[in-house]
Amino acid sequence: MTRNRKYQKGGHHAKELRFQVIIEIIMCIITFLSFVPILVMVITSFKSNVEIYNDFFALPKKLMLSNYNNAFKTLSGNMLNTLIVVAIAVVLTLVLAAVGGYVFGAMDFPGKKILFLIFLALMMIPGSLYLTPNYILVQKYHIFNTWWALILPWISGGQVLGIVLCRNSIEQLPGDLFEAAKLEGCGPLRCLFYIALPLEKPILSTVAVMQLVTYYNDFIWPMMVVESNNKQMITVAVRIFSNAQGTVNIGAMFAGYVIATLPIFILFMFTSRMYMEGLTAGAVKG
Amino acid sequence: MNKWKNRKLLFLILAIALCIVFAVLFLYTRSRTEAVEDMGISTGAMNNALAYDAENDVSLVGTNSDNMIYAYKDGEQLWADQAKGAFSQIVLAENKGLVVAGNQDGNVYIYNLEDGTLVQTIPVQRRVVSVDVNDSEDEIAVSTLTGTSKANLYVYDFNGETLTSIDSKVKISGVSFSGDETFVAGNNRGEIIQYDLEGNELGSVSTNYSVIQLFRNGNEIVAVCKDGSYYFLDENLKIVRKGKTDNTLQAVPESVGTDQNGNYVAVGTQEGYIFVLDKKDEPVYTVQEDQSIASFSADGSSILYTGNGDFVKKINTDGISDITRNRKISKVSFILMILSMIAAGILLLFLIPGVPGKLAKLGKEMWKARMAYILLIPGLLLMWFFNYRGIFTAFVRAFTNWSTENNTLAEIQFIGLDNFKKMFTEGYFLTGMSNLLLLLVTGAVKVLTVPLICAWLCYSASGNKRKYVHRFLFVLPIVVPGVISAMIWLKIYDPNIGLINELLTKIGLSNLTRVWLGDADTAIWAVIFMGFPFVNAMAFLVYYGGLLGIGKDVEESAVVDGANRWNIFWKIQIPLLRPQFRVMLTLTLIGTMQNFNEIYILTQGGPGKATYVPALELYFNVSQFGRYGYACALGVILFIMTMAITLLNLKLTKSKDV
Repeated sequence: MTRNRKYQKGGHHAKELRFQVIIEIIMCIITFLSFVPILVMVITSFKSNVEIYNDFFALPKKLMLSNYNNAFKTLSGNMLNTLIVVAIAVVLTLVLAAVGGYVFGAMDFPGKKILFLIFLALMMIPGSLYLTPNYILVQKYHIFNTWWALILPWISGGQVLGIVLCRNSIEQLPGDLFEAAKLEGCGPLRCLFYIALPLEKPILSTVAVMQLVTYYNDFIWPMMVVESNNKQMITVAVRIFSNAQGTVNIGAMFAGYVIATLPIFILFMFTSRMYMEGLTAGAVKG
Repeated sequence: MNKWKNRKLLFLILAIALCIVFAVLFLYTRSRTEAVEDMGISTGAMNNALAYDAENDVSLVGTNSDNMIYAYKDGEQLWADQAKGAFSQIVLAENKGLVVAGNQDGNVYIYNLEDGTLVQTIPVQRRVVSVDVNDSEDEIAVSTLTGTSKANLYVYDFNGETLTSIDSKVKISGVSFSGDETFVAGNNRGEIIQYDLEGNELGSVSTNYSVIQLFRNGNEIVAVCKDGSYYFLDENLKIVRKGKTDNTLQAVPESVGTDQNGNYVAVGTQEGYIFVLDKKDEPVYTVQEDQSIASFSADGSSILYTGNGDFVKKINTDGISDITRNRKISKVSFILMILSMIAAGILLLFLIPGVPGKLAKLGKEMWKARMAYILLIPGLLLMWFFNYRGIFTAFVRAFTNWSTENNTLAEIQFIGLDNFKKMFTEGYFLTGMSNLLLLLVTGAVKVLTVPLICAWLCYSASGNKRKYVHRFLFVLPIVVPGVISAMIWLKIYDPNIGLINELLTKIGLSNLTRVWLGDADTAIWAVIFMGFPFVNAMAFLVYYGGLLGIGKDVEESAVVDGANRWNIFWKIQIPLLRPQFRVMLTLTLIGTMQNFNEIYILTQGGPGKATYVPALELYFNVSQFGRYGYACALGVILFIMTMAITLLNLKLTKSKDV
């Protein structure tokens, strides 16, 4: 909690002002530098190839919207794929997280500790360990080159943090809340739907934003298990598109990057609080 | 009370009985899940051609590696002969008791079936690909290949007189009689052409892919094409039946066979698969051998086959369609057997005095909380199939030769620590580890400096609105997906149009420009420099949150004591942020070990192996080299390193709490 108490000492004012000006300048410099790649991306995406080769730093004389046209024509299908697949995966993750969080947070049953450890242990095991077997297993399960090969492993790993966060949020509730409901004759399923779920809402929205970004950004796994270009996710498709442009159409290449960034940018604009909470949620629990 | 006990005993007996029933069912059906039977014939060499005489029960096998032809009866060798080349096809003239064998040394040898005396040698003087004998057993059709595409067709009588000779510019893969006076040949343009003895073309059929093999079964000609489709033609070249193997494995067809009645078709592939299809062209059975399947023959309802290895086997097509069913039953009965065994075990426990009470209590509790288990089932199942199963596999297979070549349980062999030794001899791993070390050190420095400075600056800024704006702007660049960011940096490093070289040229330092990612000396540093100025949004937020948590009170009391900002930062804030540092350090180190997205996009480990890291090596071994066992071993090493850091962090956290 920050409290605004006025400093009573005089003479500090000038010094304080100078300090604030200096840190403002430093912050602006750092911010500008970290925005350089984004600026490069956006500006270049509007330039023609000739402009790019002539003067890299110049602003585009005329906005080359054809770059976007070009990129969108190739990538719109993949973008749609990604939005669909990520939406399905996020919804399923939320279901698993809400249910699991409720079970571990509000219910009592033999073996609870062990079962929770089974979930928790997964957080400590790096994905690279089971990358190889899973690559073969999805072929064995006959879901290779289908969206299920993405969704199922995603939600399987993605549920864990969600369950832990939901459990924590439920455990923070007064303990007799569910007891009372039980005495009133409320079964576990009704408890879940009418009491736990509404209370889990805030943490679920954080989990949703967090997992959405995680799934959206995944690159290696889609590249491995999805072969058909028309089923491919945007991250991989952009790379393929980018490589196909070579040095011929750099503007369109960057327009592709912008297109791939836009959904997350929009998400961030609308949910920046949850986005930031999600970012730190993983760290805080550790 | 006694009644209850009796009932328990009854249930126990029932459970044991069920267990036995399912065990018997399991063993019975499992023994009927194999249609393949070994013929017990061993040539000690690589086989290539096969013929079977049902009347005398003689199998003829031609080999590839030592140019032998063998005749077997009841698994005993009857006779053998050696030629100068590999035997390509063997056919029988049953009524005459003769064996006609085409050989790649340019001859057709005719043997006596019973004692193996060489009756006649027909010098064709070209590599013989395929032979056939007509039904009246007075003519032999031969197809040959010279070089790679010049083919000839000949018809001889049994004295070696040439009756017909045809030149072809297209590679012919098989020849067969379609009547006493006509014969057909399949070529790699996908045509099956019919000729008469004068060499006139009578007609042809077009398939879409090259004909791989062609043979005659009674009055029908069976051909298989490169895409796995097969055709049955009558003597007038009319297609009487056609179908296609379901080729999801993308195996390359090599040979084709049927049983004598032509009910089942077997398509053999280079990869050693045999796909058996029934009359409705539905796949009913699949066999997998280690070597390419070269030749088929028929014995009544059985299909005999051999391939480029030392085996001759028989597929019994009687009841072959039951096999899939039997496999299912055996699986189900196995599960039921285990379940009834468990039930019997539990019932047995109940009969021990004292246990029932405790067990009943536990059971009661579990039953009461059954909804909890039911709700957890989906999540647990997913984790089993997509995480834990893989984890167990990885640990076990890290010690095996698992690879694309050794992909069946039979082929996967335990090889001890060979995979781990390989890491130190191949060199990629060692380079990768030294790169990784560099990335870990620089990663640690990056995550402990810039985000902290940013958090402190933002925290020190006056005015909530200003704080908010700067916090927002520091975090905003995270919206660019990691791989997109890497692709932008790839362009920033571009030697021709890249920002860095352009900038250097502009400020007159063009002598410093270079191919940043293509130069082994600078590549790894370019990878490290990517993401400059390293405002890690997560670390920034964690530190910022930490600073807020310390609170103004502490600061103010320090100010009263005469401390300035500098002192407060070093003496109060940094020590109090230690938990945040530890968390970020742990996450960064683990993340750095696992992540290879950026390196994959920037350099793919190159130039040479200059920017390899173990995780990238793992990925390449899975997706490109197919060396799964080795990749698993790398995964295990990465797991151990991750675990070490996690445990260290855990221990530090614990000791702090005490």
